Amino acid sequence: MKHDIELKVNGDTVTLQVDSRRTLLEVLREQLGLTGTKEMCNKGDCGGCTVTLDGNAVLSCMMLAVEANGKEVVTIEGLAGEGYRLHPLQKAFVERGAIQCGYCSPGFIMSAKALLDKNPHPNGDQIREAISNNICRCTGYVQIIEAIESAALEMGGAK
Amino acid sequence: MTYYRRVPEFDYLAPKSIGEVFSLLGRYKGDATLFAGGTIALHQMKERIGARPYVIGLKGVSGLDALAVGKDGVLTVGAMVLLQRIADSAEVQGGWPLLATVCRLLGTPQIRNMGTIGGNVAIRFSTAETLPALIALRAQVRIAAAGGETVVPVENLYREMKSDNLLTEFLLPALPKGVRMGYRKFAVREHFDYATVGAAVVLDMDDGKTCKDITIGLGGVTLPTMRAKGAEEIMKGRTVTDDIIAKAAEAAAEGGHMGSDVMFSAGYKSKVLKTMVERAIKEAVSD
Amino acid sequence: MSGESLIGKDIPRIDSTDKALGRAKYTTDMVLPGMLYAKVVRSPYPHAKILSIDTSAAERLPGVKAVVTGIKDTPRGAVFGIIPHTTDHVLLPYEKVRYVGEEVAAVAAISEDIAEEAVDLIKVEYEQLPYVLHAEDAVKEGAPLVHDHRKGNLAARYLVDEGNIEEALKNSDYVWEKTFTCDVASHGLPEPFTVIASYEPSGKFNLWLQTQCPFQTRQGLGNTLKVAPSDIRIHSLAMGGAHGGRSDTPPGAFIACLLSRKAGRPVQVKMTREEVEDCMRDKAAKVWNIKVGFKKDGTITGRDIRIFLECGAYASSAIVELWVPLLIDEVLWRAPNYRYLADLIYTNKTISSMMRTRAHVGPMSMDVCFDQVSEVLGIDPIELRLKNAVLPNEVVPSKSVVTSTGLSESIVMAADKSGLREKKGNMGPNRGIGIGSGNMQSMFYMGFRSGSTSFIKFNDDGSCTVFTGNCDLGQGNQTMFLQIASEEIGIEMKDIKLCYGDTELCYQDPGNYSMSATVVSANAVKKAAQDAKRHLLEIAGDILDVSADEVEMRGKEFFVKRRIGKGRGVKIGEVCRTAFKRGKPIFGFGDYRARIDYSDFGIDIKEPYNEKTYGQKVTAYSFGTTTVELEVDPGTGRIKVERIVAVNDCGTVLNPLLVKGNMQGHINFMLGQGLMERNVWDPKTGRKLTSTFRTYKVPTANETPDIDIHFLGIPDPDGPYGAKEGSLGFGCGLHGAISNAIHDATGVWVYDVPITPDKMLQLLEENRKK
Repeated sequence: MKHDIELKVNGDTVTLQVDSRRTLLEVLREQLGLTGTKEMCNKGDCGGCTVTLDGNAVLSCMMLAVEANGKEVVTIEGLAGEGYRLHPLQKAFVERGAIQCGYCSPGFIMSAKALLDKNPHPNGDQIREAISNNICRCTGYVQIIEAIESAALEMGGAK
Repeated sequence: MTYYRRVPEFDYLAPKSIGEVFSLLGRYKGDATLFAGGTIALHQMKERIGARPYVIGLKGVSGLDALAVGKDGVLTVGAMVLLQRIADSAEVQGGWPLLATVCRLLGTPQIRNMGTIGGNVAIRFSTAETLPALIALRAQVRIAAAGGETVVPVENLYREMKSDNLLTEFLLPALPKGVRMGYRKFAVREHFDYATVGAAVVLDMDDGKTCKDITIGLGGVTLPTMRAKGAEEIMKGRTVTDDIIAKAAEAAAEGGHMGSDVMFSAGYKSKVLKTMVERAIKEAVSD
Repeated sequence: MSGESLIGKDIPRIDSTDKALGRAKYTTDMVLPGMLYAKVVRSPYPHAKILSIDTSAAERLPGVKAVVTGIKDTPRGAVFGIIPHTTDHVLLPYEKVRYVGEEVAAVAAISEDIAEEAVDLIKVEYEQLPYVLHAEDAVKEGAPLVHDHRKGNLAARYLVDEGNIEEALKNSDYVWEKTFTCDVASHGLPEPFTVIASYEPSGKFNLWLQTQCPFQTRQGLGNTLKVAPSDIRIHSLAMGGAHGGRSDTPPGAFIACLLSRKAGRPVQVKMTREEVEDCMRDKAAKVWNIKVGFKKDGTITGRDIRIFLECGAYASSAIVELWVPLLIDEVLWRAPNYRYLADLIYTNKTISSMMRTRAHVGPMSMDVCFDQVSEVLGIDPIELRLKNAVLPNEVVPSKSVVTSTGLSESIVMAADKSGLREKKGNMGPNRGIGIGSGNMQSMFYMGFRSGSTSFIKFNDDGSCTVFTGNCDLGQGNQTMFLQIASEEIGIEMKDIKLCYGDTELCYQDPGNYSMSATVVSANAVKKAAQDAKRHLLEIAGDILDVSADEVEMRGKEFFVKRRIGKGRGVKIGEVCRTAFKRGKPIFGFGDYRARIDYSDFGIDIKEPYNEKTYGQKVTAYSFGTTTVELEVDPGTGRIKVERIVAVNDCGTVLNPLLVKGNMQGHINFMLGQGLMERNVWDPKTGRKLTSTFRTYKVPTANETPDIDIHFLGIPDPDGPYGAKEGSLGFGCGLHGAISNAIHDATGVWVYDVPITPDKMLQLLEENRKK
């Protein structure tokens, strides 16, 4: 069964037709070409496909696209400013060495963004909790946690 | 043998009311499945477990997302209320902090942002968090059927709920003043894994010494053994000591039936359950 | 060199901006015009004969463009293995399947939905055979044979026997013996295995896939497809994790090539997470029996090591599992008499292969040994280690020379920085501290394939491009190559581009195999950069009318040394354009081969592979020591690691930011395999039950302890600027440290990893009964 849906993706309103069975992840990657959102486990266990839906971190592989109808989705591609001006989280991830193979990074950054949007001054436990759905096999998480702390400071300072 | 990446084909149906849900269930009989938060259902569909040609989405059904305290002091939690919303609710934190706690400790932020309390309970997947707490809080649950609805204690849900029923809301009575609560769960990765076993305790004490009343909900055990009545009896009317807590915990672990899983044997889980019950009671005592 | 040196500076990875933006292209992100989507039919049985395959219904399904089966499409006699002795893996089998999930047939269709529908229409008839899942059962009399001609399921054996171990143990004052075991571990790779193969009308194949070793993958594909390796071009993209698990030639790549050739269109094979776990590669389970003889004064007289390793269904690349534990054990602790006998045992399970942490049970055994023996002999455990630690320029039993080591220094520093002596025994109930040392090889001798050749071409604007056959798994190799080229040439990293891991454009390179990138590939880049710089100075000298050695580069300009600050300089772009005009563009060529002639150490073996497999296989060994502080929950057995001090002897630290990150990652890997990650197979079906991140419990951010990192900075004579492998060796003793810390906390000794909560609780209960 086909459904006409309307999404706001990274600020743009898009209307498209999706099959009942398509996940939000499949639609983002295959229909909209937004391949920054990654498929790792495809079963909700790894956080690689994390995007924000109306501001909350969700697993796009565990969500039917049809159920995202009318909602606002932000993916990793929606963070940077004009001319690839890095979001403070992206900048901190780069500078702190928090990205190695980089495959899990978009998911981590989106989880962290959902956290900082709600809680601009998180402590270490809150940061670890916010990325508890995200699996990284390269970094051992230390530099990721440092990067989120550093971005929070920078974003807090800008206010 | 094949490893599938795709969700199998189905038609997604989006009823707006509980009545429409039942008319769809009636029309498609066994060919339709209910779909709440989706985190568990989609997982199973991708593995070709219980896949049906029709999926009835509940997100747009009105009347399933209440989170409010009535004049009688009863907290109503609609089945489609997101776990994170319960964890964040000031009213729940104030009056039923145990429920807020288990929702906060369940899964991950993403799971809590997507998963509903009704789905969590109804699909009986991660029963070690919400269900033990609801039992300990003596919650009632409203079950809708094609012909009407019934309200039953949540601990009897496993007997009362039929496959074509819809769990619509939980009703949590106001708690006596000064009541104490405790919750402990065991999971290998505490902030990621669903609890292997868990224990939720609601305790009412006289003069801080005697156990006036107690309810203990167990997680990770079979549904009929989730309420640790034997352990409750050991505690009731007795002066609360480390010794009596240990005895109650032992009784709870003996009464809770469980099987082995991929990671742990039933024997190990039973030992850990005893530890969790003991710690949850102690946490309640010092609450 | 002008300006400040880049060596030792914190430099962010050059590829991380694209990755942070979500712009980096991984194989899973690629779509080619006309690309077909493939799905593989896999064996549901751990051991069975393939009797017949009926593909007719699948072929009739609209949208299906090609179907392949081993019976029809696998070239006969084309068997994969990384060395001749263990070429036993038919990548799409036609006679027998040997583990659940092994490839049997595959379909390519115009959509993945159709491909998934089509595979369900393929009917395979099997004759089930008895199977064996564990090495201890596989060696028993009458056990099912995984390969009919391998009696006792013995895939391969490796022996090093030096001195007289029997005599040495007999004459020792004290002999310590224990058996250690470890489970099969998984890589848990983030990016699902994906390959796109495009067969061209010319008869060549283009491939995009995740591989750590493009040239080795190409070689294996050439052998199995029976085409010239140079007719296969491997392209490297960003890669979502490897950790050893993408070192060889995967069946998926072979199948994609067969399908693409048949369909005449590009074909993508993309696996699921569970498919990768069940059907790709694992790390072997081990049984490690060790006897160590001591003199009263604590000197080791000899070691006798007997190990069994679970090979899985094929020894094709599992063979490395036999050697690496030796490379670790023999260079850590001195042993004048030494026997190492290792058997690789076939089982009906996922294939064992390379993994970054593969040898941990060996170093663990020795660190437990030192702590236990120190009590028997009344010698301080740190002194006991220092007495036996291998020193620089020592020759080890297999006749390799340890050209640099800071093992002793790392032990002293780790003990000091962690406060080990004060804390041990004094951390309170259920809390403890332990120490463990490890090491790792930087490169491994593989004949002509162990060398790397790099070149640099200069552009007419004064920028340049470095070409290397190596690739980047995320460790930061790209950054390292540019950092070194910049350091040598004297132009900024931003003016240097990189072409990597493309088998058509680059020369042979060992790839990320046995940690060879730093010592082998980076040394080749360094030499290429030096060569290019020489050419630049020559042309600049010509223009300035002086000889090359009178020229100095400052910024992007060349000056006559004695006239710096006075006369005019010549800009690098002009130098490059002049070189073009003369028909001799600026170019640098660099080749690095490991030294194998160690006759100056009295070693006369010039070929590391003689019949006794002795000789210098490794150019540089990294070392290091870790301490672990932990708490054991007596009610659940769960272990919480609180603090780790890590001292790394990785030679000169090229880029501390990146090395630290790699070290933290390695600690995470070791903690997971040490405490939580357990693989389970269903004895009734032979199927792996732990194929998801839910069931295979890799650590999350919440299991991360505080990590305090220190470097020794002792330069290695062969590594670039004195650098060695920096990510793994330091931490290979972590399981020994955990075991010793558990003993300090509870009085219980642990000999088996992973030390999951249930095992720990059982040990605690047994101890209480005593």
